[in-house]
Amino acid sequence: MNIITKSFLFFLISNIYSNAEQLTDSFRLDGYGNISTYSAQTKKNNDSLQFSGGLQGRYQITDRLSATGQVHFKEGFNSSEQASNSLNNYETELKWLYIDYYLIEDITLRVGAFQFPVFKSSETGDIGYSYTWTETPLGFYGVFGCDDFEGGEILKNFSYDDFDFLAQVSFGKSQNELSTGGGPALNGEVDNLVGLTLKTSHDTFILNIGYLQASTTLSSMGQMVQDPNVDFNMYAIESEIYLDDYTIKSGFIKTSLTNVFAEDFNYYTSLEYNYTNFTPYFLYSKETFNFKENTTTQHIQKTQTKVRSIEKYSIGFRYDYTSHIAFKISYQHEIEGIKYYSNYDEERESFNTYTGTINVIF
Amino acid sequence: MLYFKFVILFIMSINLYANNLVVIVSKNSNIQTISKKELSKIFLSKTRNLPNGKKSFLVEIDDKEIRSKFYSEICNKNENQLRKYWTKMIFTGRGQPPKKLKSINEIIKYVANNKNAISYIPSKYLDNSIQTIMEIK
Repeated sequence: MNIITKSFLFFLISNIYSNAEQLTDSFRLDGYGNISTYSAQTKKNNDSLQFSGGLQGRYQITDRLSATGQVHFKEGFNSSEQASNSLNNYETELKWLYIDYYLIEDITLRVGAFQFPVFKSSETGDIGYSYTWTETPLGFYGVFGCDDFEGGEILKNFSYDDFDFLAQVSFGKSQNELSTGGGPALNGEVDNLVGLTLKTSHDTFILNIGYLQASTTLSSMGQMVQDPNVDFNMYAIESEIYLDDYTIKSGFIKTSLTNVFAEDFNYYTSLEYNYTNFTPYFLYSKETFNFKENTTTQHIQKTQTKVRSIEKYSIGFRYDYTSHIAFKISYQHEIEGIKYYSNYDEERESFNTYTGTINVIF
Repeated sequence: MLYFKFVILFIMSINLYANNLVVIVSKNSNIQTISKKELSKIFLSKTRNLPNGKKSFLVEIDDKEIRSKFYSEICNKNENQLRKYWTKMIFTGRGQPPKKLKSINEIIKYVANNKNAISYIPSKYLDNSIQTIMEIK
């Protein structure tokens, strides 16, 4: 399927279904789609057009009980790391599948498969329409490759004075291919997963605080793993502040793995100006990843600590063409560096990326 | 000239009155009044209950102008903010937007026949089958 055909189909589908939300009194169908094009010195996706999307169905079984499922699909890459342009090369993933039951006093219990709720955008990172930027500011959508889990959640909405709160407790386990960024991917089941999230909202701001802890026993040990039993913790604090037509968004996230010594610090801040349907923005983000790596040279094993950092400066804008379609364009300057503590060597390289996206919801 | 100004002001005031919204419930509902905060929480799906503790049934007109006025006055959200808000709520399963109906008559009929329903309409469409619990100017 060529680019013109894909684009035509994308617009056709987004318009046909633009009002197909509530199909019956008890069944609701929602969907989203993203079309992205990247250009210039990126490491992959050069000058390609890529599609992704998803569908969510929600069935209200009784007054208190409902079932929800969400499927995400995205276009795969060919051997040249270009969008495959083939209908046979779409990857599909069941993102959410759960039942929820309303207990009392705005307390809801959910059981099934979920996305990580800890970060403000981690649950909706695949849905481009839900955020201003061409992409989420950090690679936090699945730190160490872990982005979903099976288990349960308890949600409680409450208010105090002019503040609204959502408290969320999540627990369960996750079967993910873990990646520590510097080493090989490791297969591991994440157990004893507990997440706590508190979201506070007011007319002038939103504050999101999250904590998650879990443990895993790595079944495929990479070079750097001495002990297969690993615990990991994530902390996140993110905010949105509204000042007239300006919005300031910021976040700080720390993730650490014990035993293998790996720490990930993420920080981002953005300034947006909301002018009717037009939202120009500036976004800065930085990820710093510290980890130990074991290397063997002439039968001598040695451990060295590395720091990998990624800094991104982006300017761009979002244009809301209708209440279902948003266009976004951005320019991003990215600096990647690796620093070795053993000899203070530092490798740095930079990229410039131009990105255009069209995001729809229906 | 002064007479002309009065005429213009009079016409403008009629138009403003016509654009006033009223929040409505059934005649059979025991809700007499509601605060802006309570209304905002209900229509943003932050609570599913009415002030009397009963589960709310929300409907609204599929009309951008009326909806925009309601949400900007009650929830401090414009159309784009609202759409982004619902995108997050829907796809994380934390809430569902009100059911949209095509005409004011459908809204009035739905609210009149359901004592836990709540909605909003332009005040000029008020009739005896429903009662007003808040006026939005």
